[in-house]
Amino acid sequence: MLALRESRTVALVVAAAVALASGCHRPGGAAPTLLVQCQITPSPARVGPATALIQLTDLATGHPAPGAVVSVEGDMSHAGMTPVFATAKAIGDGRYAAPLTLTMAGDWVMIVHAAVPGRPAEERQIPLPGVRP
Amino acid sequence: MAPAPAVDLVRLPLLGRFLRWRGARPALQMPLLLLAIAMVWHGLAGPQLAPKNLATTLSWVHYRSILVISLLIAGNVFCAACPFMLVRQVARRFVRPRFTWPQRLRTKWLSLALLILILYSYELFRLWSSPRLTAWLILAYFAGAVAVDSLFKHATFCKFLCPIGQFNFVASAISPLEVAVRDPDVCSGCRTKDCIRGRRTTVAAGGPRRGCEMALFQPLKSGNMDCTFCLDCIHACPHDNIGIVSRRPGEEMVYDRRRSGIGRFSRRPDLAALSIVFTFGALINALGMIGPVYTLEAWLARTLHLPQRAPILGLLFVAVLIVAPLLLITPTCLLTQRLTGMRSTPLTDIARRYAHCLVPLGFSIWLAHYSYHLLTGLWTFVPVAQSALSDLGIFLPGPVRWDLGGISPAAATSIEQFLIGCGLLGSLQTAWRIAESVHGAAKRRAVLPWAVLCLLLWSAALWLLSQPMDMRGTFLGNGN
Repeated sequence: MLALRESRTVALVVAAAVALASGCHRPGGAAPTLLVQCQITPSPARVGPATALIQLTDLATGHPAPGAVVSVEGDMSHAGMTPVFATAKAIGDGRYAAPLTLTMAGDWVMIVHAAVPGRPAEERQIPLPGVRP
Repeated sequence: MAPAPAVDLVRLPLLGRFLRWRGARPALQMPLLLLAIAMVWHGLAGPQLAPKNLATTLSWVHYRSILVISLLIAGNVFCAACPFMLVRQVARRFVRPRFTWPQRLRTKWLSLALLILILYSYELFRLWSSPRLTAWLILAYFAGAVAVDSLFKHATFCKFLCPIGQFNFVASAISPLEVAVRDPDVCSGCRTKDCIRGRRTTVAAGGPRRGCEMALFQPLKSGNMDCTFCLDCIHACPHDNIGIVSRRPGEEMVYDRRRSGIGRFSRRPDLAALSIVFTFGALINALGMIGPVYTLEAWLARTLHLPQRAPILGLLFVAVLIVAPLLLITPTCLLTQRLTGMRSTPLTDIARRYAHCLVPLGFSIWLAHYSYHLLTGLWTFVPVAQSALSDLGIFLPGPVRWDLGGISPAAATSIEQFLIGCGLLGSLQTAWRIAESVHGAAKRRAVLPWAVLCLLLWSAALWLLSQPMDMRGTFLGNGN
């Protein structure tokens, strides 16, 4: 049975943790400047080697965005699986290609990180459901 | 005097001293409470991608796996360290419960329904992929425990409602430890029965000691069913006659003597149903991860013109948790009845007695499935915690190690197969010993149908776990 002092300790710990947690939040991102489109080949996606084709478009001008540093991270929708990473190479006209290995069937989420010189880096999450065995 | 058990944790030098300390349970609960707070915070405020969130990573990869492993190697230590009960205990400082749980609800039926509801919700709402919903589930659990136990006396939530608790109670039948009386002769001379009534002592003597809130009277308690390892009886006993002692795992499923707070297993259809759902639930929880089941679900959706996920999943749950057990266990009981010549024994009596033999196999399927997640994602909590700390403004040296994982899925699959093999042996042995106990000379004929049933379930589990794991794709392809 908890003594009054222990109850107070528990209440204090809970209150402190809630206060600490409520005071913290992820910083909000700046307004997007890029349209990021991602396509996986082969399509439909299968377990094994794949390529993420990324098209970057400048939202202000509507023109392709060349010269960016682009990387791709593939995460499964289920926790506990190691993500896969790839650095994309420019293949011209604002397009980039990243070789990936999809390690398991199921639902994936592609996270594209794109940094155009002179602008803050941007990140997009693109669902890739139903990767087949 | 009864022979002393091989191990008694309460008699061990350091651990024993800790367990006898009255602050032992809160000391176990506090870290899990802090972890639960961190999970709720990150689930609600952190990134909503499951592999990057503490709520989903710790709940669905680490917590449940470590829970089943601890049940296997020790006992119901997670109920002992339950953070919901710590908050409930604080709430009871302000709100004294006034009601007693209605007599007709003092069974496991309600908690069984809640266990099925949790398993169904896990699939329907894709809890494994939703940090926010996982956080809300944890909060709902806290709210439920506090609300119920603020209204109703004793440990009503634990005994009659908590789905995790029921899971732990069934699984702890295979645990190697139980809370038990050391010397029954000491209890025969005891007049105060503090282990169940509690003890009023002065503050100088350590304050009042609570008796068992689960209504388990130690001298008549037998096995781990309904025991939360809360240590109350150990602290209340004035004769220091209660320990956490070693025992033969699975033994409690064999005998059928009257148990304090429970009665006889053979007269408790709810307990038999709990064991059956525990076993078949292990299959349905793992079924959600393989491709052939998606194909079946998609076919059902097309054939029945049901584009929504809920009714398809509902059908699957009814098929696996109700229809399959009925179709398999009824003929098994019928065969036992015919082979032993006990035609006047009702089939339900046989089912109530033998259903518990499925528990070791069911447990091994849970263990195999969860071990797969733990082993393949063992270190994934490290980068998630690093990332969460950086969200709090606490930057640790070095990069966030998103490359940390675990062993390869192929190696984990071999371990899974070994575990369910052990589960099969455990179930066969339990069925044999129940047959010995119930049917005596006719034990060979009695056990045969149950051995066949165990082999069938083992084959199903082996097939299921040998399928390529498909981390829960969307079977309708539209997110439904």
